[in-house]
Amino acid sequence: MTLAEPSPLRHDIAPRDADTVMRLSRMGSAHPMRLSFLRVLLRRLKTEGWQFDRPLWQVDDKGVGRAVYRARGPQRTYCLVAFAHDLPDAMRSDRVIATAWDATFALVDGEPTPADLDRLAANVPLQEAGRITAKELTLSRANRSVRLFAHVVDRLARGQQPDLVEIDAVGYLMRTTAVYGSGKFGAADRDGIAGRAELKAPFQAEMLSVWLIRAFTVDIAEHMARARGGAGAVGLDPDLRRRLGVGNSTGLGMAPFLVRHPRLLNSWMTARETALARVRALPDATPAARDAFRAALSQAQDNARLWHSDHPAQIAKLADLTHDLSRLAAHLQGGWEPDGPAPWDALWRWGEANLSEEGQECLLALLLEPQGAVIDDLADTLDADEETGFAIDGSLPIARLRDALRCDYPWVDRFDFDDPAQVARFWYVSEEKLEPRLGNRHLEAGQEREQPLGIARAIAALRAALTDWPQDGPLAAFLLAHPDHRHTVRRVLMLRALPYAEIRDNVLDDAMLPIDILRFKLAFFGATRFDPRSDRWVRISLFQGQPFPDELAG
Amino acid sequence: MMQTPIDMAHSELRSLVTKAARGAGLAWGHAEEAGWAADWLSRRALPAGDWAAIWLAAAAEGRPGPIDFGIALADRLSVSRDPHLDEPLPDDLPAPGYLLPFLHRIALKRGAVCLTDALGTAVRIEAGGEVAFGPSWSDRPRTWRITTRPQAPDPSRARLTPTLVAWLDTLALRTTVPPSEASRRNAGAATPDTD
Repeated sequence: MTLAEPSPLRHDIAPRDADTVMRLSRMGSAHPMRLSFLRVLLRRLKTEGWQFDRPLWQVDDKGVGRAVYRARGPQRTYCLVAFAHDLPDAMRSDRVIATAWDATFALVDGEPTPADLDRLAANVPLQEAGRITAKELTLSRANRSVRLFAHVVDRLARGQQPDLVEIDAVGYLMRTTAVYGSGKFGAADRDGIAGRAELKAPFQAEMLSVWLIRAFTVDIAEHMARARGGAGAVGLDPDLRRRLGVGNSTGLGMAPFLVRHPRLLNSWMTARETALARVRALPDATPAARDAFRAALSQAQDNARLWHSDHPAQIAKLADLTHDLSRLAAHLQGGWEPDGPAPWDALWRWGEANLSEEGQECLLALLLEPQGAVIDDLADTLDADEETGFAIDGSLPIARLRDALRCDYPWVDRFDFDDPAQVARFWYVSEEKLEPRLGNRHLEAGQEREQPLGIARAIAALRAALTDWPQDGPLAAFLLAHPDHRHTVRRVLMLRALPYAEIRDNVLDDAMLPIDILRFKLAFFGATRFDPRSDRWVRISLFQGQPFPDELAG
Repeated sequence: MMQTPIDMAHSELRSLVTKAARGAGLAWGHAEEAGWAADWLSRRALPAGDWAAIWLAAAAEGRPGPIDFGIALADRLSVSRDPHLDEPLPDDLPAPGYLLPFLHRIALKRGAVCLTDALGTAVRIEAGGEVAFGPSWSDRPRTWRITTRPQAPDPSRARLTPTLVAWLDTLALRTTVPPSEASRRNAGAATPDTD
């Protein structure tokens, strides 16, 4: 490089401020993007030339049996073991309490032996009531979309392709109702596998499971069509197949995760916001990047047209999105100057001034899309060490804790915890179903068993408890007198200099919408078609529009 | 009937013990430490679950246990300027094995930590996390002391407390035959040796 050449990056654009991006309304407008976990997985599988096959398919004409899907990488092999069941319609439930499913799965580390398959057959169909071992990485299950599955099987059996409108209206043949990993029900501990390059980024084993499940959902439909239609049956057209993802029902259970894993949350957000800052800092917009950006915008408009929801909040967001994408398209035609200085930054600043939060967050995803060479390395920073700093150093002077509170938690001052509406909610785990729920402390019993998720209120309480303690006194003395604050003190000390670690809102507020938390996390997974069915649970689609194993390998 | 053990992931045990500790009445911050301690123990193949059952039962009845004690000890030692620690452990502390993770936390700053009694070492924790149980280890500690900076082990010599040597001697004496007239007589002790 000569001195006359421009630097590829400008370095004067900082990532967005945490007070802007860590608010629930904006988090609840998040869109999937290049650094979403399923995109990270698919890029790696393609780049490293992974090979896929189906070494076992033992399924009868009723669609009952077992199958194995194998993914072979440069270092290791993983296998999805699938069990297909004949589930009466009356037993089909997406709730955690269900006890039977259309299909159940485990992702095996390596290749399963016949003994492994028998062991898994005795346990995986039981899901939470069974046990898996350190040889398994995930445990999951799926139910059919009765309407679309029946339609697709019926059409294929008759030698016809399914109706495009029907496929787009549902978007999946099966939806997963839980995908467990990270040591749950006996699976391998996360820390035992996190050192593997292919599993370093978050939820990669879970994403691989769901991606292979997607292949299974089509295979089982085609199998049943052949069983019914014989020689006259046909396979699913590849273009139609691409339009199918895996559905997912997600309830409140996903929401506490982000509060309980603040260092991980910080890593995700730091990666995404760094990516945006890098793109904004680019000195020019190459023709290829402009074309890719326009293609991404067009795809986003198509997606918005197909994205349906009956939930009032989502209907309003979809209207914002559709309107904003039209404005963005018009601005590209008549306002944006792609040959001007830092054109991507100019476009971003136009978006901040003219688009809703929904539109701005979509613009972020669009800006990242053409810039793989600039940002894809950030996928290596999505994980986090969640143990460092767990042990509290009791010798720290209380002044250090006060400094941390003053620097990192001024946003807590926005709230008034004497206002009953601002402490109306409490998070708890239902004894009957063992699932996280949200109650109203003014109307319901159980707040004495509240989960410690109201961080803002806990910080305010900690500050109050510190009032009369001397600055140079040791933290150990305070903790001995106030063991109830140990949880919060640890959190404050562990999260120093991690600006994106906290949701800077009050999750106890009466007006808080849990679906905002769900959407944020699901966007990082790479989910599309976010469709709230209430304030507390949603349907989404994963891998819709993405390649299948045979397409990726080919 | 013998029950088949459930094979758990470390993270699964940690989560379960954290929740159980909260359920037994510990503050959330202490419950987190309990889960961490269970993880620490299970990674060393120590009976984290069995020991947890003992102190959780005590905690559910409002009795003090190793988590609160271990936390307080580690916190206090982090500010103590006393270079040596040598103080008694409460008698009958339930499941004293759950002190080990907290003693390791102390050992990280001060070097090896020991629990001892009059017979010798109950357990020694190195800064590297290695655990060596001694003959005095018991699930029901009595008159135990916690000491830091114990003498480094010297493989060239054996070191035993006088009490332990006396006890060993007592057992060793059981290999000997008690005195008797016949014994003495046959020993020839009555005959002067003038040769």
